Amino acid sequence: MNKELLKGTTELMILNMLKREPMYGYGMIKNFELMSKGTFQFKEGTLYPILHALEKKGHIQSYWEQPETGRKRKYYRITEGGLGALETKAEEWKLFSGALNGLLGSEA
Amino acid sequence: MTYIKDKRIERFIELVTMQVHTQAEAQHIEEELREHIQCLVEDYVEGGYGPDEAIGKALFQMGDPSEIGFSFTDYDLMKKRRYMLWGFKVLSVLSMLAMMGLMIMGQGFDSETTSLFVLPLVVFFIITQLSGTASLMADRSAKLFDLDSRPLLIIWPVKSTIRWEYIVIGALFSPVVFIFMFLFAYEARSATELVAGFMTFGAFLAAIFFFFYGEKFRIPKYIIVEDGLVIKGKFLSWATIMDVQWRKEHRKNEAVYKLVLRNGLGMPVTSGIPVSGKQQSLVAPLLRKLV
Repeated sequence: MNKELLKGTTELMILNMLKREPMYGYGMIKNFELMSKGTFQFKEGTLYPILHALEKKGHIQSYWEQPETGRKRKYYRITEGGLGALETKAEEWKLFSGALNGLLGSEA
Repeated sequence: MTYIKDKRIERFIELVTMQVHTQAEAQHIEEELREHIQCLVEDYVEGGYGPDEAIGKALFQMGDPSEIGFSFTDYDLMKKRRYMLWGFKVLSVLSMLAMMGLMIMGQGFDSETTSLFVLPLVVFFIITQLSGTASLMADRSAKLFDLDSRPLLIIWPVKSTIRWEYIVIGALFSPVVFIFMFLFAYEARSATELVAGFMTFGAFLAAIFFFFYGEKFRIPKYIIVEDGLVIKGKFLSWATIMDVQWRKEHRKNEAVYKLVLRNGLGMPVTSGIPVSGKQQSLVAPLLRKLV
């Protein structure tokens, strides 16, 4: 999928995913692939700058979790501010994609 | 359970974290990336790949480390840093002035000794602060903060370098702290004087704290952009640069490079820009592409 197209929507996808449950980076990537049936595949390291930026904005919060067996992992959960941002972004996206679909449909 | 060790993984982590400004943030990022790479390698091994091939595939899947490292730079926040730097400089000077005020009010001490030692230092401190602020004001007109495009690379200061201001201020001010403590303990004649003395001391410490804390928000001196290089707030177009030279130096076991840029007449247009050995491998190919 086109990289530029993906860029603007990654934040929306991350917030939407974290709305359901807290997750760690690798889990998110696997979930992306699964949910989008392989459409959303990107270089996995690029996820972390986005997560850190979202955390600085206060949309998500991170915490470390140490399971009884295995390695400790950094989890992310959505904040109240993040839920608000998700709602706004989702509205914007619906409006945009609806208008675009209409435009493409009328030209077909 | 420990992480796998491999030269390629170390290099990847290094390339990302060298572009992160603070050590604490770099540490967090490193742990997260290691965990992610480890998960990928384990999955590839489970899928039937040999360990060596699995590491290669995992790193490919992670993406370009230079790009990832740069994405951690919060450029908008960086633009705001100068306000923080100014704010702390002003707070620092105000604390110093408060200290002077308290000293003038509290005449109970041996004021001759105090003024002899302290006042020249306070004046020196304020001048240092103001000169720093003045150079920042000069930067304001520069294009550094009006760039349309995001920078390609930020050259952070070579970390092992100690700023000369720190040494001078440290050397001059540490005896003052001891003189103060001595004066307060032996010369205060009443409880009020003792309190005033400690308030003075507190204001002095606050001034020093604000001075050092403000330094954290210093903006990077060198920024590489598509059309040129921003050097200490001034913009230099690639069109004027004809030749790029690197001089290698050694500082405390670490290789440091000095970047010298020359114009069409072969004259150096900058004094050497210090670049750490780690960052040199990022800067050099970028310059080859741009100049």
